[in-house]
Amino acid sequence: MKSLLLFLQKYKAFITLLLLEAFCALLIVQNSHYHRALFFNSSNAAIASLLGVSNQVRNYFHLQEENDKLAEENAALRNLMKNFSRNPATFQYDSVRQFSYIRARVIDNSVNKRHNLITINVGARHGIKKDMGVIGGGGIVGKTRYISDNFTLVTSLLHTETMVPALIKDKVNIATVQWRGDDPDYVDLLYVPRHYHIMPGDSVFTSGYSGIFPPYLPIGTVASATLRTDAQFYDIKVKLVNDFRRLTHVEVTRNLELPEIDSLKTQVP
Amino acid sequence: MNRTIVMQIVAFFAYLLAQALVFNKAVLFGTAYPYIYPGFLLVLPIDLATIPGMLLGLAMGLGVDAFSNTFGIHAAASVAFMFLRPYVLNMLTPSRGYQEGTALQPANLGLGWFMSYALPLLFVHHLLVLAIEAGGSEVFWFVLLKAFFSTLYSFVLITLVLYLFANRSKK
Repeated sequence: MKSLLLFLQKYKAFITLLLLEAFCALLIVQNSHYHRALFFNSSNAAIASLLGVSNQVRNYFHLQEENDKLAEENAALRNLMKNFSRNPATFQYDSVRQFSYIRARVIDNSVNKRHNLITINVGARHGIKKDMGVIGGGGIVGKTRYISDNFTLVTSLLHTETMVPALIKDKVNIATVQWRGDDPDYVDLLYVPRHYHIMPGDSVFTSGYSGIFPPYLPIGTVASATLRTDAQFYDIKVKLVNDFRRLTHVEVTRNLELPEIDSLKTQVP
Repeated sequence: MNRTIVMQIVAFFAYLLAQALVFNKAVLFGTAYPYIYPGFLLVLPIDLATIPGMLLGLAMGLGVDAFSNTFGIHAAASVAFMFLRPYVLNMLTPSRGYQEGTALQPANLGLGWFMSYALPLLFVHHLLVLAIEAGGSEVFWFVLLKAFFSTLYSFVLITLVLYLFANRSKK
């Protein structure tokens, strides 16, 4: 007994080290495998508002750029509208009515980690729920994950565990987009079978199969498509339309039909 | 309350906020990550015992984690940092021993001494943060390279901050 106490006395710093490291390991594992926030993250109100202030200061330096982007988007929308008034048949009314959009501002963002998360300034009070889609900057941005009253933490498309169902226009209907974790300008397009003829420059869109994102939203264009011998699928790199370093405003998409779809799915035995 | 303790508390939050709001955004070329908050842990008093030191490291690490959405990675690295700190300090004891109450500042003990004190500790800390973050999915030498550049970057920033504030407090 005495020798045990002596042992504990002698190695108490080392034992404390092990205990504290075990605690940290628990935090890390909990958050990467169980998708549950055990501890504070930036959807916490105090932390989010501090990040928001610093972000506002930083945004001042990009106002001009932001204005140009908005003007461009306005022009594109106006062009689109012109087409619709001339030819109402091309108007895809279904997908417009199926989704409603909640506007939000990005208050924190990163592109340098493997698990990048984005903090936005809307939360449960604005009707945000888990696993809603987030779009913006002309493309897709990510999915909602942790939600507090006024803020939401979004798993970015630049998060190695985010997968988005995608299609290649006029060619492939079922494929998946996933980020490899290195270059924030490129993602991989997985599961494109070898019998298709894929060329650099092909456009990649959301397929809408997940019900999270509206269909036919641009994701990017094929930058390179290689086919290794005996590989079942292509190795495809897709250049993103979004510049994730310059993300300032996003929209959260709410699929109004999702509850109905989900309840149907639960009826399948 | 003791004036130095108040100053330490102010410094704690100053380092935490500077890291969270400024330096988290100052990554260079996607390879050099500046972590300046270990600067606070480096200059804590010499006679701070290991266990309270590790608890301080944990607090600082969890604070940085909360802002960077890294959930425990910085906490784990900072606890290890504070565990190793007394050993490095022991190895670097000057021939006549540390004078009582000496602040572990580069301005007091010389830049050479400070380099041999801070660089190994910072390297271990950065390597831990980057290796846990990569989660075994990156090639190890690339993590090592990132840790190397990040350590140099952080060291320069920390030393600059320490010199700036050492001059402030002397006046």
